[in-house]
This record gives sequence, C-alpha cells and structure tokens, in this order.
Amino acid sequence: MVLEARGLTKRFGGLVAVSDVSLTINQGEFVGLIGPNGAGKTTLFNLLTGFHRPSAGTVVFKGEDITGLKTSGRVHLGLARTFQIVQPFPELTVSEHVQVGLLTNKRKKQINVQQEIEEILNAVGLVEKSNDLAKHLSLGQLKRLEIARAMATGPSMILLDEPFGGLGQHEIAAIQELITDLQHKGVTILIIEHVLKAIMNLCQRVIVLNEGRILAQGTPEEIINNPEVVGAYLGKTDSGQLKKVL
Amino acid sequence: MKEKKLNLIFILFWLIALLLVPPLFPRYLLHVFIIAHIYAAFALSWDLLAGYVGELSLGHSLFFGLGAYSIGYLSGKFGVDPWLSIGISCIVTVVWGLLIGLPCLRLRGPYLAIVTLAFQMLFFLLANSLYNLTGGEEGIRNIERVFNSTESYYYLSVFLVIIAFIICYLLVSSKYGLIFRTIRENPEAAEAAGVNIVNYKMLGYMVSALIAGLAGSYQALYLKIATPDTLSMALTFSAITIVAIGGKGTLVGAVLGSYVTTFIFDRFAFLKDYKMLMYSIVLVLCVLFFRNGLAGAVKRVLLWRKMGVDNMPGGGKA
Repeated sequence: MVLEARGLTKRFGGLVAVSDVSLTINQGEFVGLIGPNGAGKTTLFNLLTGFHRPSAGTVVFKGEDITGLKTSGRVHLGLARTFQIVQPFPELTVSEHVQVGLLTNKRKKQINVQQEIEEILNAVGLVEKSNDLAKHLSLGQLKRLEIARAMATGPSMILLDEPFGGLGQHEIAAIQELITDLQHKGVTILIIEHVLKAIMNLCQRVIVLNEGRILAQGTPEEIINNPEVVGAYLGKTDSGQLKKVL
Repeated sequence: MKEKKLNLIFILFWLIALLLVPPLFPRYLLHVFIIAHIYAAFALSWDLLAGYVGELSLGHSLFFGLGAYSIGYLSGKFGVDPWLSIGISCIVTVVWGLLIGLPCLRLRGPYLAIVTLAFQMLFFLLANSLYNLTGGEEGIRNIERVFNSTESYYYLSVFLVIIAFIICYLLVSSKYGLIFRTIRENPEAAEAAGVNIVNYKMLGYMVSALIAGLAGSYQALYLKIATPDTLSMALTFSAITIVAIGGKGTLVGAVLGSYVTTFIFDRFAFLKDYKMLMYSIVLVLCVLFFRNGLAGAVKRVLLWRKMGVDNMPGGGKA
C-alpha cells in the first residue's frame, strides 16, 4: 500500500465537497478516479497533494502520516501531481521546467542534470522544444510538459488530473503511451479522466466519486455494469446506454 | 550563456568606466555618482525581490531607513566605530526583514507588500514625531566622518554597488534564480514541482533587505546624517521608477535606470520639487510603452540576430 486516505472530508463553508472518503492505492497500481462534474475529484486530489487542508481525516503515504505536510514536502517524499488546467511557468523554457523538478529532488544525487533533462524531454517528446518558452507551446505540448515536470521530481506515485482533457486523438494516444511507460517503470498512478475510453484499457481499478462520496469501486468492467454508477451519470437508465456513451 | 558573457562584459566596462570618473570629471560630479550608486544598490534590492521572486515590496524604503537610522544611532549617538556600525546596521535590517517576512510570506496574496508598507509608514511617522528619540525632521546627526576626500567616498560607493550587483547576479544566475523565477511565474506550480516557496521567498526577502539596509547605512555614512526621508514612500517609488526605466528583472536595468534618473534630477534641479509627480508619470509611461526598459532595449540590439525578441529570457511580461 502506497497511499491511504482515511475519512477525508473537505467543507467549503456549507458545501461538503468531499465527504468521508477512504481509499487505498497499492504499489504499482493504476487506478482511475471518475465521476460526474462537481463530484469532488479535483478537491480529493488537492487534499491528497496538500493543496487543501482536509476538514477531517488523514492521508498516509508510504506509511507516513502526511496530513500536515506541505505540497512540496509531499513531492520530496515522491508524491507528484499534474493539473487539470495546465500550470506552466510562462516565461521559463521547457528544459527549465524539468530542471526545477530535478533541483528539488533531494533523494537523488545530481550527477548529470543536462543528460537527465534530455532523457525526460525525450520521453515526453519535447526535446526539440527544450529552449522554447512555455508560453509558446500548444495545449498538447503543455499537457506533456506537466507530466515531464512531475517526472523530474522522481515520484513513486503520480496523480494525473485529466491529462487528456481538450486534446485530439493523436495527442491522447501519445500521452497514453507516456503514461503506460511510467507504469512500466513502477510508478503508481491515480488518474482523473472524463475520456473514459482512454482509461478503461489502462486502469486495473476504477473508483467512482459522486457528490463527494465514493459510490463504487472495482474493475472497469464491473463499473460499467454497475447500475448505481449508470444512474449517477445518466439518471435512471440501463447499462447498455452507458456502454454506448463510454 | 550569451547572457552570462554580456553580463561579464557589462561589469568589466562598468568598473573601468567608474575608475576613470575621478580623474576625468569635476569633483562635484563625484557626489552625483555616489548618490546614483546608493540608489542603484537600493533599486537592485527591489528588483531582486520584484523582478525575480515576484514579490512587490511597496514599503521597501523601510529597510533603507532602518540601515540609515541604525548607523545614526550607533555612530551618531553612541559613538560606535562607523565601520562596525555598518555591519550592525545590516544585521538589524535583516532581523527586521525576518520579523516581517516570517508571518507574511506564509500567506498567499499581497500581504507582504501591505505589511511592509504599514511598517514603513509607521516608522516614517515615528521618525518624524518622536523628536527626543529620533531628532524629528532634522534627523540624527554627528555620524563620524570616515574619509577626508570625496574620492574615497566615491570609491567605496563603487565597491558597494558592484558588490550588491555581484551578490544579486550570483544569486539569480544560480539554481536559486531558477527557483525564484518559478515562484514569480506560478507559485502553485512551483510548490507542485517541489519548491518550498516560503523558504525561498524568505531567502530573497532577506538578501533584498540586507542590500537595501547596506545602501541606507552607506548614505547615512556619506551624508553624515539620517533623516526621515530615508523612510519615505517617495524613496520606495524612486526605486520602483528606476527599475521601470531600466527594465525589471534584469539587474543591469536597476543600475542604468539609477544613473539616468539621478543625472536628470541633477541637471534639472527644479524638477526635484515635482519628484513624486515625475515618478508617477514616468512609471505609467514605462509600464505602457517601455515594458522591458533600457536593459531590454540594449539587449534587443545586442542579441537580436541570435534569437527572436520574444525568446529573450527575462523579456516580455513586465
């Protein structure tokens, strides 16, 4: 078990965005997190990565209680994330994005930074862009840059927030390949995604969030056939219709 | 790497030019140069914080004034050795920076700017009104004279501004510079990339306070007096305007801008009465039409065949 959340709750004033969520993610697992808009997926990510403090509950990473730890502290332990809305450093070059992650990576001795930057940029297919400023990149490139920056911090687990959002078929395929490679390297992955088709083949397990609570979890097959999940997405209807949508 | 070369060439030419000033120019100009160097060091400290870390310090003269009054008290009132006083003044400024920075830098938003401003205004009022303690508008006099000739004060000011420049330059061209810029560009993303933004902002704030305090204490040492002007908002705005004219986030700009403004005010002395007005107008014009400042313009000419203007590091967004 790499990551464990116990009874996580987040209230924003009167709104309960995440309510008593408990989950465990195992080493090397590839888990999908889905749910309708406003289900609390991104808020849950923010709780796990330390962007928000939970109103109640704890987060445990590699056996250590990290509930009170800042985001950067969690990154140093090996818990990285990407953002749903890309968050580049507009006036910094592509290679500088990677360099920052390498600099803050305290678990690793820096021997050949330049070579490592190149390796990571190679993996995400941005080598030719390494001296370009981030503000000149396309959305697809920025999405890959998000992953590159997270990879540079040397994570054992990555939380991906809609890495395919807004992308076309080709770009989705490229990122799928990238994520699969990460998994093969032993990185544990938790992914939020609306393009369910894109993750159904990748995920070993899917967690469904609805109105801040975990509605169901299981293999992708089980989830598609779960009438409650179908209900949450489409109102009361039969699972055949959801299959068509997915 | 082209950048690095340019900066080295700049320092070299600058140093040579500065050493040629005393034999070639009338003595009276030395005074203008000394003032320009003090302002340049102060503007550098502001640029380090605003141009690299991305924190706007609207009450930055607080540190300049703390430096000036510290040496005023130590040397002027208690007769402590002036050189030792400069050292202690720097420590005093850094400690104040720590006291203000620690609670403020933890908060997201413009708290640092507001709280620094509040302390600057408070100290300005106290300096003006606590006549028995601070000498009121007349300030603290009797700071010990350390040199007999203006030349010596001039050479020390050259040393001071070059040291300030080198400290800032080494900092921003190291890994800390990259980390500072990630915080300026996107603090949340920086944190997600593993940057402990509170610690690094604190580092930038401390170094900036130190240099501002050094500039302030040197001015007091040179003029042999510490007045409330050193704590005024006008002084902060002079630094902001200098950096706007010279080019934000370039360091070189702070130096160029400081020479230009100091010499303009020296040539056209009548403008001094309208200092704040001039600063405001120039500031607005720079922000609207001269985003990259003098340094940006120079760089554009020097580098423009090598790369696109938009690709210049530090260029673009002001």
